[in-house]
Amino acid sequence: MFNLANICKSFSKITISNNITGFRTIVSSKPTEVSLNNLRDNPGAVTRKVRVGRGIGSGRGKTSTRGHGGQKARAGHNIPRAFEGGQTQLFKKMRKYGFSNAKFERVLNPINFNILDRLIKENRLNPEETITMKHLFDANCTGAIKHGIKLLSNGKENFKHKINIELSGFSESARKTIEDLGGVAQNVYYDRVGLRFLFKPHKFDFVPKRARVPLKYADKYPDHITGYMGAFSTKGEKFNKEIEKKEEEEQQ
Amino acid sequence: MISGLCKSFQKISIQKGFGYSNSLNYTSTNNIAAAQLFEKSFEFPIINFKSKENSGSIQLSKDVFSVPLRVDLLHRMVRYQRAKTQQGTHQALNMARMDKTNKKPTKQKGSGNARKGTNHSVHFRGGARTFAPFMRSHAHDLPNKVRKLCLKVALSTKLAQNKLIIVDEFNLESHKTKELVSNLPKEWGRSLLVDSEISDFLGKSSLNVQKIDALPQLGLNVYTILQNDTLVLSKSSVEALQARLSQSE
Repeated sequence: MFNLANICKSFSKITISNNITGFRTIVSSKPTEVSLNNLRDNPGAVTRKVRVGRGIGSGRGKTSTRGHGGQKARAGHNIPRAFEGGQTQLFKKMRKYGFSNAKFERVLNPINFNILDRLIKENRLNPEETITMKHLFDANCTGAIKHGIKLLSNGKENFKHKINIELSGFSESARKTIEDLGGVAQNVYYDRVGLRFLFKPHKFDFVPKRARVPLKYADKYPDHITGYMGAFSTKGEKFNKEIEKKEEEEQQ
Repeated sequence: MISGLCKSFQKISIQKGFGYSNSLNYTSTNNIAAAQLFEKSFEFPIINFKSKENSGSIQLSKDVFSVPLRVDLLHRMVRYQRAKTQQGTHQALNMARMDKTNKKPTKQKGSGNARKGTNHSVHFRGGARTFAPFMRSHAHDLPNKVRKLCLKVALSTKLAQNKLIIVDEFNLESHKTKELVSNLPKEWGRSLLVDSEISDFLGKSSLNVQKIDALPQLGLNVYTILQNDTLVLSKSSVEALQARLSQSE
C-alpha cells in the first residue's frame, strides 16, 4: 500500500525539461518551495516592450527605426498591397475569371454524444419523446444552423439512453450506437425554408411545402420523395408505385 | 521498494525531451513498483472531523491530485484572479477632460513672465495630469483549460506539502463559533474548509473567524488555497471535484 510519506517524497524533485528547440523551459519545483510569496513565471515567458526613440546608445534613437521621412515614416501609414502609386493596378486591368463550388457546399453542424448526454442529464432534453432538430436548436447546443445537424460519435462509450432521434445526418458509428441501445435514428431532409419554418414557425404566416430531396441525396434519405423545383422525379414515389404495379401484373 | 524508487528521483535531472514522462527513469525499478506508478489512482485516508480518527479511505485520481507542480501556472492564475478582482476605480483629469477656460492668460510678449497658452497645462499647479489613469477593468484572459489545470496543480501542491486533509463530513450541532474552533487543531493553522454545499451551521460558525475560510466545492480557487495553510476537504466535495476535473469527462 502507498505510504503517504513516500508519495510526498516522490514529489521532491526538480525537473527542468527543454523542448527540442531549447526555446521554452518549464520548471516544476519542490513542494516546500511553493507558496504565495514564492511564485514566478517561467524564464523567458514575458518579453519586454522595445522602447524606441530613447537615445543613440539603444540603437533605436533619432528616427526610431523608421528611416528618414516619407510616407512610411508617418503615424498610421497603410499602403494597400497591390497599390502602384495611383496607376491602374494590374488586377484591375485583367478581367474577372474563375469559379468555385465551395459556397454551395452543404455543411451540417456537428453534435456529439457527450453533449446529448449532458442535455438529458440536465433535463433540457426529454429522451422519451422523439428528439428533432427543433429541440436541439431550442437547447442552444449548436450555433446558427444553415443546412442541418449531423450526429457524430464522440463520447459514445458513456451514452446509455434509448432515444428516437431525427436529424439530417448520422455518422456510421453514431447510428450503430443508437440502434444498439434500441433506439431509432432517422434521416430527415429539410431545405433552408423548411429548416427556418421548423425552428421559427412564428415568423411564417403560411405553411411552406415540404421540399423534395435532390437526386444526388436520394440515397441518404430513402423515406423522402425525390424531385426538383416541385416536380416529381423519375426516381420518385409515384414512379416507384407504377413499377411495382407493373411487376405485380407480370407475375400474375 | 517504493522509498528506494523515490530516492532515485531526488537527484536533479536536466535533459532534453518533450515532457515529464521522458524525464522519469524506470531502469532501476522493480515491476511491482512500476505497476503502482502507472495506476490511475491511489488510496488516501479519511479522518473523522470530530475524533480525528481514521475512518476509511478514498481513491484519489492522479489526474487531479498528482500533477507536476508547475509554479508558473500558479503564478499566472494568481495574477489572473487578482487582476480580475481589482476594482480599477482610479481616475484623474487629463488635458482633454479638463473643463477650464482656454483663454490665453497673458499676452505673448512684454509681460516679463514666461509665455503660456493656458492656465491649466500639465506643468501648472492645479493643472492636468500627463498620463492620467481612467476607470477601467484590469481583467485579462487565461484559457479555460489552463485554469482547470491550475486548480489541479494547487490541489496537488497541498497534497505534496502534506497539508491536505479529507474528512468524512462537517457534522456540526450548532451555529456557535466556539464549537467549530474547538474542532480545528492548532497545528492546522489557517485552514480552508470545503464542502459540496456550505450548510447553514458551517457558514455561520466560520463567518467571524479570521483563520477559517469556508467555501463550497464550486467556489474552490487557487488563490484561496494558497492563502490558507491547510486545505480540509469533505468526502462529498472530493467526489464532486474529481468528477468535475478528471480528464475522462
